[in-house]
Amino acid sequence: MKLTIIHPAVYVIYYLLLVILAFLYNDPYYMISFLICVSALIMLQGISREFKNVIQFFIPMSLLIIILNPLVAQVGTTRIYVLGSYFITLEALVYGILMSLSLLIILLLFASYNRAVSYQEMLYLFSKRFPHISMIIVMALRFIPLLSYRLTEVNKISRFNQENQGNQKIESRVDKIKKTAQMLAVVVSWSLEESMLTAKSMKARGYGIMKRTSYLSYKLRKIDYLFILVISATTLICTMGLANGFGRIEIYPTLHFSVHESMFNPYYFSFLILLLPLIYLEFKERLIWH
Amino acid sequence: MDYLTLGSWIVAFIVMIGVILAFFRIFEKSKPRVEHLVLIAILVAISILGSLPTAAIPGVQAASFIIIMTGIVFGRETGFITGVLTPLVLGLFLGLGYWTILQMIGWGLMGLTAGIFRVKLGENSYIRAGFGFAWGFFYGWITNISMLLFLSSVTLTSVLGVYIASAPFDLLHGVTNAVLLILFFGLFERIFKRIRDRYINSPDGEAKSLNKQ
Repeated sequence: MKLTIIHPAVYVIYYLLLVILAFLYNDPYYMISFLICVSALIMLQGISREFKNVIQFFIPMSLLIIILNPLVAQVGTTRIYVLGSYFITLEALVYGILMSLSLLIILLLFASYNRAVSYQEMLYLFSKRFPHISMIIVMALRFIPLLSYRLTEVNKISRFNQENQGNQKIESRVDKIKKTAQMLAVVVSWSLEESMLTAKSMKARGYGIMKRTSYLSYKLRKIDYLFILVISATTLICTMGLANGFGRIEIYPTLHFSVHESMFNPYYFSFLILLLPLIYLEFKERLIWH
Repeated sequence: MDYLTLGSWIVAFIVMIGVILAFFRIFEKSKPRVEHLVLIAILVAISILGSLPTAAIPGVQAASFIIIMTGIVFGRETGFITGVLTPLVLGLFLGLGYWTILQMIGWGLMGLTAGIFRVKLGENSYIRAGFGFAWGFFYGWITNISMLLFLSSVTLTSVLGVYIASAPFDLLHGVTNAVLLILFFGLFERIFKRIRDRYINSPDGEAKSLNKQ
């Protein structure tokens, strides 16, 4: 139960902007503050299982990026000799590490998005313009548990038959695969026949005669306008900063990065403000409920 | 490496989303029959049921088999829509991401091409197996774009590097497709054709009444 309800379209826009910005930034300061904020958001949303999945997916991909990038991009001036005359460049290595950081942020953002916007809310957004497509998606989501239930039923019957015949010992692997396919085929033909009955029933109840309505309904309220105002203003400032080179470091051809460079400019602060609204909302909810 | 490359990636993704939405609009405008909608929904559910148990293994995807079968039996439009919607619904289960868009394009094109070459694919089992095998690689190449995004330069060597890294999975996918298409084509073709002839193509005057509204 949420106290502050935000229109799902606003969520979608917000996460989309964050993903694009995560892709564009490559300054370590920006990236690390981004990573900290997204991690805080995920912790407040309470998703540790998804976090594990993300890490499982992330490690091989990031390794591939970090290894492959220096191998394929031999641009850059600082050479590191690995084997005799074969060299990789420091710049390419740094680029690979920063990019895999950006990949991690994007993966975490999607995990957080999947938590923040439920599929009903997404279908609500979809069903206005694409009523038939969203109907297909809803039906497919319902058919999946139904099909797996039917598969267990068919499995039970086949095992029952097998035990009654009493010849389960002489079975090779090919037979097993064939039997599985046979069972799947039974489920498929059963479900296809049943689905045509569903279609007849839907038609009899008048599907498609009236415009489709949605179970959920949202209206843009004051808080949504406030939210949009904040994120559009800060994104505008961030984009201006990016155009002037704030938030990006120069990697190719030579790495330019100094630790003492001043971070206290308006662009950085507006970037931080852009990251905060959802964290603030989640935090407020935590305070009220617990 | 500059804004030009990053910007063109973002533009490319926006164009991909736009193309998919445009196809959805065309589908909506064609006023599909209720039978058609339910059929696509059940086909999407079947292909997801085929790929959910093996979702952890990147190569093995039984969904491709169902999508190719759909394209061959029900034609290119149904094949395309089924292919596009499968990763979307799968994403609602396992989590959406930017890679979902690439999967949608890959599987959608798989269904579309299967529908285009349906006559040849239905006749000759060697062509069919070759088609499934080749699509194992094509699908891998399309989804590999999600890796290319994070490399500093898109050159021949970087593309080759990513594609060599994913080759074992693509091979597995292709071999799975080919084996399934050889062994179980007849069985599933019979089931699908029965439904098609009985409900989808039936000269049922009552069924067409929805179209006229």
